[in-house]
Amino acid sequence: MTDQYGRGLRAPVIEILDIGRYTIKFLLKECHISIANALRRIMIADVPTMAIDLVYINDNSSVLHDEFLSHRLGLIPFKSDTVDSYEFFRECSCKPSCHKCSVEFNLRETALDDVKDITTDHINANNPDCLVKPVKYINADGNEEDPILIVKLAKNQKVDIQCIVRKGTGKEHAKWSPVATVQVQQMPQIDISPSLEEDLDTEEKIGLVNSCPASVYKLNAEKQTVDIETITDCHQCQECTIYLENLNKKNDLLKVGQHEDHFIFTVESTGALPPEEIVSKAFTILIDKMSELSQCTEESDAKD
Amino acid sequence: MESTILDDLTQYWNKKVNSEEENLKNEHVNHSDNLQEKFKFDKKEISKVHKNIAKHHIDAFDFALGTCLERACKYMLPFEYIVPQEYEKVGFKKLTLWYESFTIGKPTHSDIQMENPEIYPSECRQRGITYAAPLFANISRKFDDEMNDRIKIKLGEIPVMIGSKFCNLHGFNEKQLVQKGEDMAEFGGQFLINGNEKVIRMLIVPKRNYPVVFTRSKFVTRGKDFTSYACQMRCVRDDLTAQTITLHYLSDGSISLRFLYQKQEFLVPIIILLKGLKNCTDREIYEQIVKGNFKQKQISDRVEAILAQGKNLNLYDSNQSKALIGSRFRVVLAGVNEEMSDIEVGDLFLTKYICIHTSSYESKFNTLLLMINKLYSAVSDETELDNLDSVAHHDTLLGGHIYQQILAENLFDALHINLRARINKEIKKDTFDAQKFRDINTTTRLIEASGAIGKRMENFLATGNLISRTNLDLMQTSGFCIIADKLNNIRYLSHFRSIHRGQYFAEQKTTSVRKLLPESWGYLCPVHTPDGAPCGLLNHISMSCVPLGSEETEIDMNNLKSVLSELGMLSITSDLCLNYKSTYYPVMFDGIVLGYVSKETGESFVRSLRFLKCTQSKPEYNIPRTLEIAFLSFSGYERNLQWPGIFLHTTPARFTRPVKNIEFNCIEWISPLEQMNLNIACLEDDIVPETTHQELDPINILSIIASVGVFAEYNQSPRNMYQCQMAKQTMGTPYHNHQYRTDNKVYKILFPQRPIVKTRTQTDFDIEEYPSGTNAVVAVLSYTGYDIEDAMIINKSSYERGFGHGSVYKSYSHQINESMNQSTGGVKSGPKYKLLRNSKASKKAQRDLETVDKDGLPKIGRLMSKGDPERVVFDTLKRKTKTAKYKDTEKARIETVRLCGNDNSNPDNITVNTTIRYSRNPVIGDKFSSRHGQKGVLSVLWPQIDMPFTESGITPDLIINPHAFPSRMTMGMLIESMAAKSGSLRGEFKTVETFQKYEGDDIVDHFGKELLKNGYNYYGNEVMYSGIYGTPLKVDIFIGVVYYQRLRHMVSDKSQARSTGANDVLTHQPVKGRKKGGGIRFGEMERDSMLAHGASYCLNDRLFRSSDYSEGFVCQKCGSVLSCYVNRAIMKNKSFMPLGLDENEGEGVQDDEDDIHMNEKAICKVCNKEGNCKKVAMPFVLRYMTNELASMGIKLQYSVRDF
Repeated sequence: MTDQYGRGLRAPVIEILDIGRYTIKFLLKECHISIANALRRIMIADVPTMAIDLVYINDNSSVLHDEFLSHRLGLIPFKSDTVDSYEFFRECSCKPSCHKCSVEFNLRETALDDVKDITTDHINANNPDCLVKPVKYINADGNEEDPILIVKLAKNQKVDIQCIVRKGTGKEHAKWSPVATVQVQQMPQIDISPSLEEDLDTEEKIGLVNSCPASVYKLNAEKQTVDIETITDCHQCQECTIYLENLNKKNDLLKVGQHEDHFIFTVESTGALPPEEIVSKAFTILIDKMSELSQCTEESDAKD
Repeated sequence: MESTILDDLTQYWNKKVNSEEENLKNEHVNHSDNLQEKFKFDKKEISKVHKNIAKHHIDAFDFALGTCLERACKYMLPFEYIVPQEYEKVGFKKLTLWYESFTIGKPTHSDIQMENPEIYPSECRQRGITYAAPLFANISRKFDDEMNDRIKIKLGEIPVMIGSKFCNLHGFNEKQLVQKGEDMAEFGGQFLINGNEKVIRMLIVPKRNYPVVFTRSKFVTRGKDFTSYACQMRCVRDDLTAQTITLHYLSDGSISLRFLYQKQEFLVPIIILLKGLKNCTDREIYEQIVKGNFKQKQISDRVEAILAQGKNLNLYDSNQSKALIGSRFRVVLAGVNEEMSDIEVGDLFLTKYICIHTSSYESKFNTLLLMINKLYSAVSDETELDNLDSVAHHDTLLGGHIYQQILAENLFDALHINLRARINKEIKKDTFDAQKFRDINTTTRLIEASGAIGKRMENFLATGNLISRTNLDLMQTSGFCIIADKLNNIRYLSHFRSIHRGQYFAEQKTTSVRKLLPESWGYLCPVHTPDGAPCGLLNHISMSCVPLGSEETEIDMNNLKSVLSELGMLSITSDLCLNYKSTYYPVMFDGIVLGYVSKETGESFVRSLRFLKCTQSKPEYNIPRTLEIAFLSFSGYERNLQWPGIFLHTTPARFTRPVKNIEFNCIEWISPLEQMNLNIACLEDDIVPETTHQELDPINILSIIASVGVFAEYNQSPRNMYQCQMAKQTMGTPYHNHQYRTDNKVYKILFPQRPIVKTRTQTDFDIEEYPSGTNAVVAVLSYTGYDIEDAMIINKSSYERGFGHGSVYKSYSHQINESMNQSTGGVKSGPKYKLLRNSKASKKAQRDLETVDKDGLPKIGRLMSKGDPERVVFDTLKRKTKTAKYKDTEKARIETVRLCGNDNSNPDNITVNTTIRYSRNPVIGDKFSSRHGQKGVLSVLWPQIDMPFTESGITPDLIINPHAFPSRMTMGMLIESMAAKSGSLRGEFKTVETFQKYEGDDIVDHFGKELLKNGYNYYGNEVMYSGIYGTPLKVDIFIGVVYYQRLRHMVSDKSQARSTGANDVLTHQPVKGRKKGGGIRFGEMERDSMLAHGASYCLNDRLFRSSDYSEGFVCQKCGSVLSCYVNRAIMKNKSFMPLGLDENEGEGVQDDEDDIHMNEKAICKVCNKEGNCKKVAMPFVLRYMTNELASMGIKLQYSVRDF
């Protein structure tokens, strides 16, 4: 155990366990909990993306009222790979809005003969070359999924909406958060005492294996040992130790704990940004924040 | 053939009972069904049980206005007008008019030239008019002994119940309903009065045609010799007319009959009635009452007392009695004319007011004797007294029934009172034309004018006030109708199932009427009653309870008598003068004594009758399924708990409910009096050898709302009561036909969800089609301190994603041409205001015109803030536009604007109905609640990153404090949390049932194991990390999913603050009320706390300076504040300083308002002397009070001195 502030943990290591289209799972080793948490917080709240922020409703005869529709539009994830090329709306020097800080979209649909589903497919950019566009999800089989449904129009109902997409962060509104969730887990650590092999009979071993709801353990039939199969699945429910306690065995047979400085991260992207980019951006932002902080402290030191 | 509610429900329960076993087998199949259910939103049909929610109201209305009105017509006396002798010129001596029949049409537009004249409720709702149908009467007219004329007259438009057979929506299916602008689940039962939905609430009234015996200490004061004992029977005729008679036991042993006629009380010695009803000897009466108990001296003494009274009055035969009655009552009875003899009046009295449930004198006679018997046995303490608060002795008064009674009375009064007055007036006219009077049109006109029946019925429904000559044998005159507000679906449907004990009891100080009695088991919900003033008085009928709105079949008495005789009843016939001893059970059928059954055969008689009732095996016997067979048997001891007898009832307005008859293995409909003497097992395990019946389902004791709550059986009981209250205050989905509704205020949430854990009732009653909450991830922990004292923290991101978002809709109407009603004062007629056609407005008005549409009405979707122009109309007199402004301080958007015409075919008389929408997303202070009576307010929106998170990365939507649980013991909420967590992990809805059994009686184990199976902790606890530090919290946190409701109480409707503002004219104190920008009362208790703190300056500031501070003069000599007056013109003296003011303060005033203020000089008018008046600061109310007292000749003197 390092000391309270994580001194001595100067070189965290990242070990990527899995990268998917929308998720990334990695192990952050030799890192203090404060840094790990900072990373989590930044990924949720500080990594910028693009989302609809301003809606002009010219016509809306759908069943959903204007505010309702605007709110739904706002929550649509937009592909934000080019987010860095845009300015934050408030930091932009332009007056109402300009191409540097905002992208314009429109949604003009009328149901002519039957009920019509208005989806993200109907949101068109005013500039067709625009790279920012509503996310199209691709499922595990590589097929495109159905677009997100915004509203259903009955016959003769009409929507005519102009949307302005802006850059923002999850701190301001959840719609700008690039992640659905960031899972941070301290690396579980299970110490199985060697004497367990002898102290428990086969039935009790099977009982131990079955006691775990996350099926972390596996019985090695040959050696009659209890092995750890998937340590990462352990979520500290302590069912195994409770089981052993109930058997009235010595209580040091099994120790379930957590590795203080190892973290398993699972980042689930909304599709606005690729997961690995969210992580790397989060690191950049973290470093920026750090340097800003150190700059500030230096300045204040200088003043003294 | 239309199915009745009984058919529907019997079928439903049969299916349910039979399918239960199958369900167990098919559980696996159901599981996959559940998954599919998730996507099944396009449901096209509403369940039968849901449709039957208000069926009893509709049945009652149909029955009352169909069959009963017809019968009432027959009972109504003809109206006879005998022309006074001095008016011989009229050419006839007697005019007779009588109703032949009534017909009620269908609601139509008054403009009948329309292609589709039918009007539908949806249109009435939007236009704010009454949904009414024309009432026609066929009236026969006869002059002297000439031929009859028949006239058909429209008596007015009477409001009709939606869904009744007089309604245009009658028999519509879901699709047709939707086409007519209704909700597909519209079940009817309400009236539409001026666009408002009104329901006549059910009322509890004494059981009809059943004698009850009780004591009231107040009776002693009724008259000489009165004791507290009385036997009462509410007699109800088959046309629903009721007349209560009460037999009072007098201390000399005789009996006096009391009844109310036209709100007046009358007492008649019983012997007069007995003699009048039957020509019988004293001996006959004696034997009928003594019933073989010759040895019991007490009874024979009493009978002798009765008979002695007859002797004293010299009554020997019935005509003497009738003549006596007639001579006394002819002055008060309606329908008596001079031509009738005393005997005829006596007959009228006996027929119309004594034991009116039967028309035969013989039966009336027997009923009275039976009541005497019951009364005597209670007096001699052989029987326990009846409890009048017990449901066993109650009937319901259904809306349709009271409606019919009022209608019938109005119809009677139209001829007998109003028309009489009109003809009187007509005849006295100098211009009276005999020929013209005989014209049919004249009669029609006169009758039409004396009716106004439509208006009266409308008034009854609009106000709930009963304006009646007779009071219809009811104990109250107001509070019959309630508004059926659609705040949410649950609240709406509970209006139709609520039942009130009566206004009279609300004022009573004793709480005994409010108690929950065991007799109400299965009929009234033990949970669903409000707390506070109406607690226990306002109840709700249980799910399975059906108040009978109509008679099931018409009973042929002779047929019935022979059936009962076949089963072992010894019938009473007048010729034989048979006399049964007191060991026989009297058989009373709807209040008529039919015969006697011996003690030994009683049981088998009842059993065979029950067999016939349950199995319906002999249709020719025509025994109704809802026949109440109350077998009150001899206890076997000296004292009986109930007066023994076999009481059969087929009358409407009874409660019934289905139970399973084990013996005959079928569903039996039972009533409360019957239920008391049945052995009904609740569960299979409760069955003992004596058991005859079993409950179909234990949740049947609960009302619909109470059974909607999940795991309610694990909660402390008051919490379930609170939940029933709060369910009715939740924002949810009130209806699906929003565009056709103009309710005054509507609350909706934007993202309603079906609860993951729900009860079966919820599915049965289609409540999930109208969801009213959201499944929220709830963590129970104390975090940040913002969750103390029932506050709750909401995740800011959840809020931003739509948690609890909702809106409020308000609708209001404005008549564009409002001045049409006012007199135009000689100005040429024509509309004063018009809609804009082409805007030729002044420049000033041009700005207003830009914000509204071309026609001057608000633009749809526009955000309105205070002062914005809302409507611009054209004033035809001033030739310019007139703008109406939006007045509310809260911003709202325009949702709908409707233009409604009227039936007066004046195109300019347009009503504009505007619906506006307030966006009401949760703000701090808004109220939320789970389904377990656990309410709380939102205290902070906490950022997601700072919320604690679990290992799987989940942050809760909501954090509540663990202190909410220990004292309230809402274990159901914890179990729901576990169950919904497991349900959401498995991706299925969990349907549970109240009182459901789980393996080993351990529900926690059931859901704990499910959680374990899904890889979670058994108890639903999880390791959580602090969102701020990232470190694990020291203890595991209980986290799960709970269905949360948003309540309608919102801060934005309640926040109130004031710096300065309006003051009361009279007192100069700040006004009260949020609307007027008033202050919040600094009351006595607040004053006390200030005093206790010694904060005198603060007190002075609140109660004086910031309130009604005023300055005035007081005369030092006479001490009056009223006599001083100021003459500003002549003053120069600067030395006056108000008393009680700081020196410096006074100077400050001097600086500010130099001369004028300080130059005041007051003169006392009384003392007429200068310089005596001192300026003081005083509360204005003090001066006001002095004035008021002075007006009463009381003088207040003030002594003033300098400090």
